[in-house]
Amino acid sequence: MALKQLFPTGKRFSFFGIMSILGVMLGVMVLVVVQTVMNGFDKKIQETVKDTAADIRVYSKGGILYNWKDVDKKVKSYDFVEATAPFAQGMVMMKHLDKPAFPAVEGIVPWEEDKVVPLSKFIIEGKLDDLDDETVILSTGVAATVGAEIGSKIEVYTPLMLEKLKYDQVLLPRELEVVGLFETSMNKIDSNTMLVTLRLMQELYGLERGVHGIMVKLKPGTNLNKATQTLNTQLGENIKAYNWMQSNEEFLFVLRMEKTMMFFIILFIILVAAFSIASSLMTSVVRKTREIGLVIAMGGRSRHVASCFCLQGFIIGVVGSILGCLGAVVAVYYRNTIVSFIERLVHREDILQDFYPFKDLPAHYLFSDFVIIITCTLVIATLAGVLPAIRAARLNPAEALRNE
Amino acid sequence: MSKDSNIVLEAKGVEKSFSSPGHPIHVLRGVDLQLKRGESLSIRGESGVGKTTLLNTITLLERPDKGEIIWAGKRMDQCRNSNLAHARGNLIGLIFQMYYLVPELNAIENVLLARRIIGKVRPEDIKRAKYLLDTVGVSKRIDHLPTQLSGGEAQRVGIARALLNNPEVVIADEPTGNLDEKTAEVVMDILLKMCKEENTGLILVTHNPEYAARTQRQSSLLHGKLKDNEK
Repeated sequence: MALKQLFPTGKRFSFFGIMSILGVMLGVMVLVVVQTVMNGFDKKIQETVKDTAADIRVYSKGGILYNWKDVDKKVKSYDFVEATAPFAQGMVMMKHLDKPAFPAVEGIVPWEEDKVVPLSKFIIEGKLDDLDDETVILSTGVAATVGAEIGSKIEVYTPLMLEKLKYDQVLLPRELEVVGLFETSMNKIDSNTMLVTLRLMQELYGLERGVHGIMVKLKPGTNLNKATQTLNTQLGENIKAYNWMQSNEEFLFVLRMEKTMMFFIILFIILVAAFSIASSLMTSVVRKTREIGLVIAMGGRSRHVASCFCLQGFIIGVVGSILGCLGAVVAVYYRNTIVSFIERLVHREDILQDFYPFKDLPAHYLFSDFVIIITCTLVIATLAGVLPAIRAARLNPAEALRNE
Repeated sequence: MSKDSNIVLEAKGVEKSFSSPGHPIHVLRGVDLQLKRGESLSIRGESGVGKTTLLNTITLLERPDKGEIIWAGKRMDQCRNSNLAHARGNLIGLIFQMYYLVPELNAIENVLLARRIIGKVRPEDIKRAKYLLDTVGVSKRIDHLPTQLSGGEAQRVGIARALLNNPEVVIADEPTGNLDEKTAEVVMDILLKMCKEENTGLILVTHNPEYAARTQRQSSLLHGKLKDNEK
């Protein structure tokens, strides 16, 4: 009966059925598309965070790791470690053509660093191999701030100079040549970072032979948390290891929250569709009063009548979910065509790149998203039939049959 | 309770009134009625006298205020709605003046609805539905929707639907009231013939004295009481 109400014999569509299904379909489609694109963004961003931060960073609780070679040897001895690279980090003041900047500086060993994080991948101009004690690689943001380009000479001032002033000593700024520009897609890094060799950084910061930490790359398939825990428990009391998820916990939490908030906001589309289903089914109860009376008069039980209306909501939910998921898969497949179309429509090219570091709209399907969206949709659509169902079940058959 | 196992429907001292501003309207004031298996009974009466209320009460679509309703030897007026529904679907077939076919279902689906409501449709039900539609003369219209049927055809489908579950009694509330004279004659012929063939009891409410005269027993509802007429 429920099916026949929605898809009457001899008719292709029932207006009520098709409009209700369309409402649910649109809600599900938008939800799946948005969640899939959000997953794509999350994945891309997480990959970039992981690529720039390394799997694990090992620090000394005292700040400077003087015996880093021993620690590095111990870390390398673990089966799950693929490569390591020492680093030192801090802040400096730099100047180019009277334009100052205060970037974060990271001292690295280029050939070892490249084994741990895909640094070469981020170099957009110049070469990583050209980095030596007289040169520097700038992030695109810093280069733009001070107007530097490949071959530009910059002056670097370090906190060590202030220390020396206390003892009436003057340390001259260090002149370095820009040999490369890099861009990681992480705004935090791209806007304000420069790379120098570890040796130069040790000199600029007066670290002697010490480093601030060791970056660790794990072998594929290694459990990140277990590896972090192993390092924390076995490297000694003064050593602390943080994995990239712990280091970026707040950022990742914001990403997760964004996705969850988006889910609940868009779920309202399905709720609106559910109200429309409820309203249509209520109208249907009024319109079908006589038929409801007839069914009861012919031996139908109230719960059968009620279930007929709940079932209609459920069927609308099922068909709407299936069509919505299919529509979403098609929309996600053609997402870049759709973006290009919008770009042409507003006469602007590469809109995406203006706001995001991606040329193509990222997307990533998660099975759990489909399960959650379909379950929510079915529950909401079925509940939409409950009130009309209760009303239908409470009809007096004799009065219903008298209904004109 | 009657001990005659041939009695399929019985009403004893049935009273029914409706509340209205001022004073209640007493529609049925102690109706007694007995119908044996395969017997036909007509009920006549003026408009508004309570014929439909009587039918609704003996089918327990409305509960009587007083009295007993007995179906196939079992007192039913105190039964729970769920038990009533099952018994009603199996024991009673209903035919209405306005046919009341479900507009979304075609002719055979409308007939099979009677079975679908009380259980699963079995292959033998489909066979019987086709047989009944053939017998009432609409075998060529089984795929047609109610809107594609004439009044006479729709009522014939209604008769087939009422008989599908082999009920003990068919209750027809002015089944020809919405048909022209010629069509009404044909429908009445079919109804009486099929009830006889199926050995089903028939309670026929009609204004037409000729149709009433064709039933085995005739009665009139007057001042809330049912009186047998001499044939």
